[in-house]
Amino acid sequence: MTGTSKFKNKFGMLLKNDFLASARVISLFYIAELLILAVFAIGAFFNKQGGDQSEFVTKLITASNVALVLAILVAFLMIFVTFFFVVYDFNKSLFSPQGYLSFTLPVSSNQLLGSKLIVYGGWMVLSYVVFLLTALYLISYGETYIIGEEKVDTLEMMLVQFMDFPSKSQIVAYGIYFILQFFAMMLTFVTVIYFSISLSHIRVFQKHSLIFAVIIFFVVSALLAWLASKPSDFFRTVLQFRSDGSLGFGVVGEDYVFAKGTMAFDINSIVMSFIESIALFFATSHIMHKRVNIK
Amino acid sequence: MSEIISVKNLRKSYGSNQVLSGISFGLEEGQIIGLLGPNGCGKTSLIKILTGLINDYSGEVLIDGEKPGKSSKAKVAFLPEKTYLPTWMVADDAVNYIADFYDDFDKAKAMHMMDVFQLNHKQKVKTMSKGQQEKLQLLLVMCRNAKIYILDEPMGGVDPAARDFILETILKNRPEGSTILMSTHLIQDVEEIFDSILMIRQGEIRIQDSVENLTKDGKTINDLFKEVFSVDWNF
Repeated sequence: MTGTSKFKNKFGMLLKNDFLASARVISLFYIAELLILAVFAIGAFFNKQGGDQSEFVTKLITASNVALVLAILVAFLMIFVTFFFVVYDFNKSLFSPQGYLSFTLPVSSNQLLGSKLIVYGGWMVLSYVVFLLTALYLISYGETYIIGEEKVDTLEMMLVQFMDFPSKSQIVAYGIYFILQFFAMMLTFVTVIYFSISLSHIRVFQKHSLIFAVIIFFVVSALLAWLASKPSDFFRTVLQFRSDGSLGFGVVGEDYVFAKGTMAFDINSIVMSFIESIALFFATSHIMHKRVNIK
Repeated sequence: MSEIISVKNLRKSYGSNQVLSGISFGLEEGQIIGLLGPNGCGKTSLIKILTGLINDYSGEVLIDGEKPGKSSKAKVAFLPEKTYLPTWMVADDAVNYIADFYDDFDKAKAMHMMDVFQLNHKQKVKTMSKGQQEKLQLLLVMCRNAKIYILDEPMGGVDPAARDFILETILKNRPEGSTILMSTHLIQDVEEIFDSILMIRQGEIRIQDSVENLTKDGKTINDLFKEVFSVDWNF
């Protein structure tokens, strides 16, 4: 096996094992959510049929109403559980005695960190997406049978503004912009958590690592938010949605006035978020490699 | 014989507390070396440096010609003093985990040894006794065909019968030509297996020699240890 393929192989193993370690708990919430949504959908289906309903169907519709509340709760809980795992697993697998296992694996600290970032960052993104989709799905179906009118495609209603863009390319561009913004936010959030935990385990902070991790998290988050806003004091990198359906991209002055009917979306903050995340990644990796001493 | 571990002018401090004061030594390939010294003498820090757990030190450390890192970690099988396996794993998970990362790991042998050690393949680490966890960790380390074994207090806190079992497991499963660096306080129990000794006192090498030379005037390693370190306990 060549050096590169060995590298990829070990990184793949890290991804696999981090996934297995997290999926054993997090996936239970996804399965529960699916089952709840299935109960809801069946109840909603029978409810729409109308007419005389057997006792069983009535019970099913009642269960469906309970499922409506449960589905929202579980989707919400999923975000918290995932967040808890992002913090818990990183701390436990690297800075408890388990670190003796993790840090003596034939992998670099970049790989250790990268694997956790991909797996747990992925779970975070997925939990938000599932929450969003669940909410949209329930609103869509919920309104249909609660209001009792003909099916209202709430989903479409909510996307009216989005679909109102005058050209297909603007819809695609806005979709990409939205996804990038979401990813940048998640990436920064998880990297700040990992940086804070790692820094709290260096010798100076080690005795009260939990308290310091929380303090560092808030200080660094505030600092990054301030930094991310700074470039816009001087220039703005913008994606322009013109009223004729065309797109524009460019760097303009802070006080630039756009043509009438043009919408401009700021890209500075997204770029800054990615830059900050990359800087935090390497800072965290350096701390893990050079500054941490597992007790 | 060539040096499998080479250390030159190694210094390590925690703040103002210097735990290793510029030590230098070389360990020959194929030997069983006893790393001896009282608590706080710098043994654990040295082991952590050799295994790549501590990287902020000064001096030169070479493991089979390479600085401690990804490549050296693939050659070193390390048994720490602590129990380190994730508690959610079952015994089989732990074996699969090690097999995923170490190309020199003999999975079939590990599965067989689990039966010999009377460990339940499906038992969670969380529900294992400390002794069972230690057995599992020992077999995970000794089922590797590694070049170097670094064992930190492998018999610490176990009864005499278990000590014999652990020692036998190490000696039986050690690949030919491999090097073992073993730290221990239980010198009497293991001194007969050592080829050479590295004694550390207050961050400095106090003795490094072959057991043959050290015991030629009839003294045991245990006697020698008491002689060297009794001064620390005299008022």
